[in-house]
Amino acid sequence: MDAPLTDDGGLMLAWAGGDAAAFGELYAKHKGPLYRFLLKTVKDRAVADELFQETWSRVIVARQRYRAEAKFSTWLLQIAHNLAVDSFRRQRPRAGAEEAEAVFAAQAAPEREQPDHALSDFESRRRMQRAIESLPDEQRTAFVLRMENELSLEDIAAVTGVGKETAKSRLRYAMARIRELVAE
Amino acid sequence: MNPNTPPPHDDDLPDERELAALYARLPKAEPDAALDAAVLAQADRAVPARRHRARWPVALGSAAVLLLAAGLAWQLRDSRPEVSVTLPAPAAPGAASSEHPREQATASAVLRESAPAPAPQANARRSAPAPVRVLAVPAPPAPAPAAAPPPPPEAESAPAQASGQAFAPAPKSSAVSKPAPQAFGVVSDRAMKTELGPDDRVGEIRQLLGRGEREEALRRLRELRERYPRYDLPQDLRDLTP
Repeated sequence: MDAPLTDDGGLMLAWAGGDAAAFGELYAKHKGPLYRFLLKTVKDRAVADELFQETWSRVIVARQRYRAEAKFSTWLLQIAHNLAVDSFRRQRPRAGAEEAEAVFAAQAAPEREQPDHALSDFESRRRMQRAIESLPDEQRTAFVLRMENELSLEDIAAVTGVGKETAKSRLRYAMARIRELVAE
Repeated sequence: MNPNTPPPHDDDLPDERELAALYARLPKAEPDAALDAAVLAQADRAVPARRHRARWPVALGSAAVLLLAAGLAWQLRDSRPEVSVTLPAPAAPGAASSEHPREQATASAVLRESAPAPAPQANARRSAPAPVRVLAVPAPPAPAPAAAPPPPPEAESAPAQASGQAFAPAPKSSAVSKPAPQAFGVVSDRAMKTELGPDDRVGEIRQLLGRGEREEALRRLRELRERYPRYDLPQDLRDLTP
C-alpha cells in the first residue's frame, strides 16, 4: 500500500476526470490489502464484504474532494477504519472465533509448503490467526495495519486517529501478545 | 509484506521481522468476483468512461467532400469554352494581321465572359458541327426589344473594337459592332454555338435578316427555339415565325 504518492493520487485524479481504467488500476492495487485489513479487523466475512463495498462507495462519492497531497492508501484505510469502528458499535457481540477459523481454513495455503512441515506450518498459521483474533480491537487494528498494510507508526496513528506514541504502544502490546500465543 | 525486508520506517520493533514472516504465510483473502464487479460497476456509473468517438465517419466525410470537390473542379474544367479564332481569309491588310494576336486574345476573353454556365449545355454545343462563318456584320435596323438592345451607333464606327468584342456579355450583345470587313474575326461555328447565349443568337438572326438571308435566319430561329424553348423571343422574331 506504500505506493508512490503521485501514482495513486494521479490515478485518483485521472479517474475523477473520466478515465475509467485509472480506477480499475487503483482498485486492483488496493483491493487485497484493504479487504484483508477489514476481514482481520471485523473478523466476519459478510461484514468485511459489506464494509469493503461501503469503503469504495465512500471513495467514489468523495472523488471530487480528494486532493493528491493526501496519501491515498492512508485515506482509504481511514475510511475503512471508521466504518469498522462504526460496525463494532452496531454489531457487538461480533462473530466468534469459530467463524474466523472457518474463514482461515477455507483459504488456500501457500504453495511452498513442504509435506514434512505442513502440519507445523498449518498449526503456526492457525495459532497466529487465533492470536490476532484474540487481540483487543485497537491493538488488532494497529497490528494489521502494520503487518498487512505496512504502515509506519505515523500512518497508523493517522488512520486510527491517535498520537504516534499511542499507536506505538498498541502495536507493542499486540506483538507481545501474539508472540506469547504463537509460542504456546 | 515481504518478510525479507524490514518495515519502511525507523520504528522497527523487537522481533517484528519474525512476526512479519509468520504473518506473510497467512492466507491472502481477496474479495470475490461479485464484489469486484459491484464496486467496479458503481465506479463506472459514477464516472462514465470517456468514449472515444469513432473517427471513421470523419474520414469518410472528408473523403467524400474531397471527391465532390475534385469532381466539380473537373466538371468546371471540362466546361471551359473551346475557342478557335482564325485569321480572316479575305485580303487582310498587313495592319490587320499584325493585330491578330491581340484580337485573338480579346475574343477569347469575351467569349469566356459570355459563355453560359451550365455544363450540360456546353457539352451539347460541343457536339455540334463546326462550319466556319463570318460573325461581324452591321446591326439590323430593327427596333430594339428590351431583352436584346442594339449596340450604340457610335460603336459601329469605333476602330478600336476588335472582332471578338462583338460577343458582348449576354444582356447587350445582340449585335455585332464591327463595321470594317478586314477586321472581322472568323470564329468557328462550333465555338460560336458553344458560346452564344439566346440573346446573342437573337442578334445573329437579326443580322442574317439584315443581310437578306431569311432562310438561314429561320433556321437559326428554329435552332434557338429548340435549344431554349422557354426563352421569351422578341416581338420582331415572333413575327418572323412562318
